[in-house]
Amino acid sequence: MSAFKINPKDYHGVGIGLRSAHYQTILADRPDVPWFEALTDNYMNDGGYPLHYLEKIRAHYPITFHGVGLSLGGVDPIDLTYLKRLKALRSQFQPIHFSDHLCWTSHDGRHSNDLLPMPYTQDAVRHVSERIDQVQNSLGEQILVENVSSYLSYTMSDRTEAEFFAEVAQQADCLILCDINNIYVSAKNHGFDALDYLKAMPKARIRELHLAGYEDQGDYLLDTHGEAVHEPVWGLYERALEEYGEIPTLLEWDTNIPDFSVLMQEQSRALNYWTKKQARV
Amino acid sequence: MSNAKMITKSALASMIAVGVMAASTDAFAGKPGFEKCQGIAKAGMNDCGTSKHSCAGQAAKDGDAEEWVYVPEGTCSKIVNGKVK
Amino acid sequence: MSELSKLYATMMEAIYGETSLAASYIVPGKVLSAAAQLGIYQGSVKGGLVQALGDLFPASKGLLGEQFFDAMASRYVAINPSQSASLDHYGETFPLFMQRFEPLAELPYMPDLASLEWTWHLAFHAASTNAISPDVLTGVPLDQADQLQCILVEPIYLHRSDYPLLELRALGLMTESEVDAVDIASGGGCYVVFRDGLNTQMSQVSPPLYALLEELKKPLSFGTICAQWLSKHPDLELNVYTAELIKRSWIADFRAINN
Repeated sequence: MSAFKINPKDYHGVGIGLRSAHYQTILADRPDVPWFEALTDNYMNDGGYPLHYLEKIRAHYPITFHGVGLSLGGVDPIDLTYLKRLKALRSQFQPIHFSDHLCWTSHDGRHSNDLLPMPYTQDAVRHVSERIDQVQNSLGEQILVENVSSYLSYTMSDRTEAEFFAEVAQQADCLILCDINNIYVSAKNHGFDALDYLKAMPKARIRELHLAGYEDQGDYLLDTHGEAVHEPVWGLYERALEEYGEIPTLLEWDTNIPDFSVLMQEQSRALNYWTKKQARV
Repeated sequence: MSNAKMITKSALASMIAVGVMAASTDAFAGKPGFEKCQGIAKAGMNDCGTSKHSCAGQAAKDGDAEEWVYVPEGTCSKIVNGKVK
Repeated sequence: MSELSKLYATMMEAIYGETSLAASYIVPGKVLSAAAQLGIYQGSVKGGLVQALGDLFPASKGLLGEQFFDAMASRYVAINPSQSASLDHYGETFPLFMQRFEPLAELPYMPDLASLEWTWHLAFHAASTNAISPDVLTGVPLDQADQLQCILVEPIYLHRSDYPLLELRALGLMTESEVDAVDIASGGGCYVVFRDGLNTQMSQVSPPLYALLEELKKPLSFGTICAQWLSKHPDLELNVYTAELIKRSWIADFRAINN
């Protein structure tokens, strides 16, 4: 499987997740952001405003594609209509790469429209690797697979999530999108050490990092993407940059979406860690 | 020519007449284009394809498992003659 | 059935509240029981779908208030699992659900408004076609008009209602501050939802124009439609209404009819 072709000039530093609330601000102000991440599931329709704005923004910025709908870990056949539409979007917008999650979202025709955790077993490794491989073959390039936040673990799991992830990446020969906030949220919810997780990831396959804000529910942390990045996640991010090098990083904010200037503040904080790391090398 | 055929021809002729008139007065060109739009004209258009989790559906938010206890409290209080008894 | 299939089937049923068997698959946490952990997913899935309905039916939500709307939506979610990876496909049967929803019996205009909102949503995301250009229009052969099919622009949706939907929608969205009361007794009308470029719009039209639009939606030749008009409305001048269609930019083309 060939790796995707990235122009390093286009893909570095800290990008921002593109949300409809900011389309017009971005086009009017042309903020200094190296790239935007477009959520492919928002552009699966045939026409209208979202596609129009994505086209305009693409004319000025590189974009990455990020999806939530493939249900890579599921057992229903991969949705070929969805895949076809994804390919059409890809040839229209020429994204740097496409990513989805290490999870399942639907079963027997019913959808959760949510990211549900997989059991971490040998069978599951084989199963999800084959499906990632199928998608990569269909797209003709490697995809990035992202770790999700989770709130439960299964009795049948016989290995850690990080071990599972590493095995899947190896077998599927895919790349990794490592969500730092998700590692922190899951570590707190399940009581594992986030640093152990970072270290167990196959470094050479990591192509992008994600940052977002969780919400503290008292008994657990919920991954709402509705707040600023929390301090311990910034700490973990710094460790991740030390561990993996300067990996392009993406900032996500999906609920209680603030003014774009707030995202720029978060972006510049992330960029500080990034350039600090770069300066030390 | 039958009556139906005549009325069809005349219906199309009236359309062409309006179209030609509109073209000559530049009415078509005067339509507001995409760039002039006043924003996304769909209240609450959502980014639905995000990877967040939600706490909006937690049990505490609709604890009335059996009884219907809510009364509409939105702007429909401003609707007169709207209730069917 | 594989072990993975069995786990997913049980989890999906549990998420939509149909079984509690899934707890046996889950490791009880130090703080949260298996059921409580599962509850987080139930809440997240339900919350996501309720939120999506609120986004797709904003005027209905505005009229009913968040508390009523969300509670009603969560009842819909419980019996209508999502069937698509895209939340844009969720809620097509919500207006029908509202029609049968007992607590709404006293507000009969709500299902009509909701069904208008659904077509608004479809129109918003649809691929759109342009109105016929004057050049093309003048080239349509008058002598063959009766053999051709007059094609409407896309998207275009038709609604007939006993209630003033334009005013109700404006009130629900509170986009017009001057709307401070809507009198249901003022009656309904014929409504058209369409796109002007990227902008989704809605107009009230006269009943004859509406009837003509209904006919044009069918795969009939222009000649057939005109002949029918002649027998149904001998007293109404057809030319006035066909001209109106051009003025409103609702005609896309004249084409040889496909049989």
